[in-house]
Amino acid sequence: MEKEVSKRPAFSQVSDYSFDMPVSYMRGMRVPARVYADKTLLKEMDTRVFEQIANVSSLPGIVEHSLVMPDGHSGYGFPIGGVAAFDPDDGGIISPGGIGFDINCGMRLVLTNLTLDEVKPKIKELVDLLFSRIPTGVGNSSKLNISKDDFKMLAAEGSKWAVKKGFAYESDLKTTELGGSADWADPSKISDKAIARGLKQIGTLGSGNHYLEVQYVKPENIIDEKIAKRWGLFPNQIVIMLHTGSRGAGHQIATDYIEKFSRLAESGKGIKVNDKELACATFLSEPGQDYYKAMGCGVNISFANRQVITHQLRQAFSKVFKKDPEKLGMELLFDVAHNRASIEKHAIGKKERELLIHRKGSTGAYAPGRREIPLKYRKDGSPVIIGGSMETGSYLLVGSDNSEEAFSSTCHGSGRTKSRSQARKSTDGEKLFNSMLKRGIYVKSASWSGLAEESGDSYKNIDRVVDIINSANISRKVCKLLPLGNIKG
Amino acid sequence: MGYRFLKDISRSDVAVRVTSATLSGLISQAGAAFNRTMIMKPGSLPSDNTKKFSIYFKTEEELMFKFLNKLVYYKDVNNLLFRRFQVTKTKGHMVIEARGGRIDPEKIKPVVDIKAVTMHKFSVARKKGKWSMTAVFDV
Repeated sequence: MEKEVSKRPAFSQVSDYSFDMPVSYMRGMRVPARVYADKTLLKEMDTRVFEQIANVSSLPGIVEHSLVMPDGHSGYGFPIGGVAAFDPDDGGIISPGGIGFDINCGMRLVLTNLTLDEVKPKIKELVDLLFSRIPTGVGNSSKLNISKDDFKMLAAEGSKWAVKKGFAYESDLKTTELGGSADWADPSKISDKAIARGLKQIGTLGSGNHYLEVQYVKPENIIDEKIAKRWGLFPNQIVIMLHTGSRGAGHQIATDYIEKFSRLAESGKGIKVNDKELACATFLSEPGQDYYKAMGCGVNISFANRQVITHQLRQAFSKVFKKDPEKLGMELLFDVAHNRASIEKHAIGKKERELLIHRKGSTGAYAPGRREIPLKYRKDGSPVIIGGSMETGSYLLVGSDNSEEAFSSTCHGSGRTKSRSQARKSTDGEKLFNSMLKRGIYVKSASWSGLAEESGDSYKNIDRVVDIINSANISRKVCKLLPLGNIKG
Repeated sequence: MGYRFLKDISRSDVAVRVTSATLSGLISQAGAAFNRTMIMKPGSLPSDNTKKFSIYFKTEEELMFKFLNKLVYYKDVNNLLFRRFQVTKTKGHMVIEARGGRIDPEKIKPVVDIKAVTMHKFSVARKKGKWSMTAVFDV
């Protein structure tokens, strides 16, 4: 286990599932930090999370409190599972490290009208075909031939670009956050390096914890039957979950601006921070606005990437089941990010303020009626897609009336408990493959070691994490989804 | 002298410490650590491709950060990893000739992709005549 290098804070309990860390924990903290957890999970969190969220609480313009979700673990700069709201009118900042290198990394869930009985006998054929069609892991590049100019269009338009190119249905835009396009994106704010790295990666899954998973809806796992039905879910249905992001281009955008903000700080023209990865600029300053526009490109690159993969997914299902994707009911339920900063209105005290919400490893979870929610779901609250481990299952949640308490944010996954090297030492990838096969899960991975790193016991128990979120009522369970087949890098 | 992976810095990502008696050696060892993070069999990489590039720097930390970012760039843009590095120091910059080959996933036994070099705990120092670098790769 990792070395405990930081002191544990003296928490005050706010509710059964939330705890406040006082500003006295670390010099320079402007606001407290709130951690969503139960007492046991709080004890289990590595103490570096608290040091990192204290650093976040020290940033200029932060409002009310910083937050850590129950899947929180230490990252760099911000912890994973960290949320912070900054007021641009009060010197609030924007920080690439508060968004993550993988800008707009997120989840999407695609429906089918197929049942478990129909898909199970063909799962190997299906997964093998998906693996051959969707470039996955180290050294596999995009099968698309995109020019530099075309990439700039993609970075400006996101999923709208994909619709024009025949990789998306018009209806996909209506069930993607932001309509699948960050309209503030400006490709002139991203470097040639970012474009060069992105050119060969559109439609690729990547490696690490990115995956595409064929899942099923076990009847007893439908928790909110009314919402599940309204959203097109039914017992024993097959759905597909996808987790990936903006790939190398997004990482280059983050790297470029972290360097830029660090140089400004060193020259005395920028903001000095406790950790280099917290490099930031005042949101309304020129460098801050440049990064916001560049981040918008990362958002669009990510939407386009997931959309091209969705196209390949639909084609593969169509080939195996010998029907058009439309006839297989392959609509996009939702596409939602967990690494992004968004301008949103939130009530602080009795006053509504426009804030820049940073979510790093935290999903937007909007209460019913909020304008961020696509019209189709606005009465219910926003769909929230939570990826668990490939062995244990995932969740579909909905934003609740109480989501506002957490700046419309919730968890994003289960959160790692083991480092990658620890997981490789304790798990044999090939044995894991065979064990999963016996349990009815067929997984195709680019490497055994990559598979071992993503074993179920490398993560916190997803049920426990979601139970806390559900009990804290910052989002509610709709259904749990179980794995049947999986491809990963 | 060489490299070792660190358990106590990052849970999601990969931390590495590289040491060498010389700065040129530090570059070569950092390149080796980069490869080993991504693939099981760096020895199976071909050596039929060369890239020559200059790095301008004020500090050794800047040099190593820029060098590792070059490796990320060539990996994504040209699908190349490098096995050998010839380093020439000239006034204010380093000229590096990197020799390696294209990544063939069938041969190299992939592990995980390095997507970025983070500044988290990134450091380069010289103590008792030995250079060392600590880096965390975002994977």
